[in-house]
Amino acid sequence: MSDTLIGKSFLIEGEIVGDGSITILGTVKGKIETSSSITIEDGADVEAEIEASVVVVSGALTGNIEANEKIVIEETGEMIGNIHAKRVSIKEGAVFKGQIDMG
Amino acid sequence: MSTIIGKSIFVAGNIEGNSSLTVAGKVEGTISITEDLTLENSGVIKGDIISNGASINGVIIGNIKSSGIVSLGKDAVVVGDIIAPRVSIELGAKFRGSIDMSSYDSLVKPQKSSFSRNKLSSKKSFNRFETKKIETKKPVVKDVIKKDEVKKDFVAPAVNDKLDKEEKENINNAVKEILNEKKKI
Repeated sequence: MSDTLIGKSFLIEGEIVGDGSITILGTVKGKIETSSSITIEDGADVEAEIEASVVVVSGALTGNIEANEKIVIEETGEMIGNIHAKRVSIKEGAVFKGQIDMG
Repeated sequence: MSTIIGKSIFVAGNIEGNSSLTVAGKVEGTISITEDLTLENSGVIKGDIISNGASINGVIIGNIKSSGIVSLGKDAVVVGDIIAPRVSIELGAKFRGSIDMSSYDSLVKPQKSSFSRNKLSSKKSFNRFETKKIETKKPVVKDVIKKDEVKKDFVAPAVNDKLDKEEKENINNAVKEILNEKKKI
């Protein structure tokens, strides 16, 4: 159960900062920062710089991800941007354009 | 699909949506939703809110415009104005601002019906006003002129009287002086 849920019909323009996990089904433009996990669900549209410990992308994301732990781009995920994380997984079917840094 | 802003989350920006929103964290920015807003005890909103209904138990600094019920729970702290057809404030809630339960209907109701009514009523009223204005203006102008004329007429003789009195006094004084001189002689 995620701490914060942004529904399908929702649009948030600005910064989202916090400690709890965030699940996005709607549209977010700006910046997302959390010490926990971020899940971008299928159907979601995110244009943001992301900082978290775990990031799972199943929807559309334009922006860079900085993750302490891992980044997973699921089959339905579409991502344009650079990734920086120790562990990265891109599932078959995912669309990705950008740089990956596992250092 | 409803949206939840968690306890430890801070959103700086605007939130728009077509379903309900629950805020347990902090939001700085405007919120505009077509369904209900729920503000938990831990929630803080700084900014204006437009929603269908609002049930508030946290802190709001900003105005609330709602087409349904706005209810302030006992833990609510609200600084701002509320415009909603129905508002309830539970004992213990803190509120500073104005409440308007009458004007939301006119703001939200479809304008077509009100426009047609306004057109009909305004035509009648305009005609009345126009005829009245024309009728009243003419006599008013005449009255003013008459009054001025009358005033001039009145002022002039009054001044003349005074002058006459002064002249008469002068003449009397002169006569007295002459008489005195005659007496001395």
